Amino acid sequence: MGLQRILMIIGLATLAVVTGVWLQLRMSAPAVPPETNATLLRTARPIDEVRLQDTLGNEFHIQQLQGRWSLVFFGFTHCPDVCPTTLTILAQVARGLSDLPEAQRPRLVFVTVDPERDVPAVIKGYVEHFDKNMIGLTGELSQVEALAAQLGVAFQKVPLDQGDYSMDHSAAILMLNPDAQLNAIISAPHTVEGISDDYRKIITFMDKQT
Amino acid sequence: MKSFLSLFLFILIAAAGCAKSSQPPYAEDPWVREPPPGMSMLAGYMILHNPSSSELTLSGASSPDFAAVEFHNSVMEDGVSRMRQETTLVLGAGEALRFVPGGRHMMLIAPARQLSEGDKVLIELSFSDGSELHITAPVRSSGGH
Repeated sequence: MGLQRILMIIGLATLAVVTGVWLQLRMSAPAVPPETNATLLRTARPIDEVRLQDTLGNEFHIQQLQGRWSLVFFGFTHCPDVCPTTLTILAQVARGLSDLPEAQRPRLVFVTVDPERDVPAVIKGYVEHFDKNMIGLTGELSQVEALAAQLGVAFQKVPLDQGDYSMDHSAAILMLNPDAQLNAIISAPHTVEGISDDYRKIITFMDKQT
Repeated sequence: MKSFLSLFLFILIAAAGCAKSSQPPYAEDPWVREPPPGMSMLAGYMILHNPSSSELTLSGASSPDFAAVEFHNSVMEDGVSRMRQETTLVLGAGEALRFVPGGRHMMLIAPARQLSEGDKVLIELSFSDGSELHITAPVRSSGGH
């Protein structure tokens, strides 16, 4: 066997191995997540059952958010600045995403961190002011706390003068997937463009994953 | 006589040059966010300019349209939004203070009537030197502009 022939066989064999490894890697490698300002969770986090109330006072289970993507914000109606600003942005985001097929458009969800004052009737008028389809949720404090804790949302009552109080609260927007699991966290400061871009990238990426 | 007159003029001009400019403060683009129904807390925004050559201290505000007006700043600490009251605000010479959504704002407490887009409210700012600035702010829908 000539040296030339041996070299050719070694060369072909190397090429075959390299090609095989490359193909294998390519097929098994996970798709690269999109670049987003939002923090995309590697694995969506399921949410344990909590019992809340909707704006009509009916019991609301978090699993009722299944079927569509949801953008969830925690706030309180006595909040004059950050909450209306964020809910206005969310309403604009929803309007801007109305070109998507209905199943891919987000549900907007407002959860109060001040259930003491924010009873269903109060929240009803509040959320409808921003978007008539926005879901408003309240409930027993322990249930709101249970949901907030699972979503990494912190809040605290801050006493003011004359027995009044305000609430400090996380300003993040949580993105739940159609299985009602936490899939991404969008941190403040919020802009309509920022949230809309991230939303489109994330739902497109997650669609390809399944 | 002529030289006396020019000396007088010179002194006059020099004096004018030395004197501090005392242009009054003014509010640029003031507006109040239209509240959801029944809400007792509103926020007002503007850019407050101090074109004078001396520092100015904003010491309070009131309004015939609200029970009280306070200054607050929405600050973000570790992703948590906190609202903190500010009792006095200093405007340096030639400086402006921005009252913007998600930041510093006028907190308008307990409106005397239900306000909706197109209404106007009066806000009276008072400064530590005793001067006042009266602002008429339109109520705008949530989006602002």
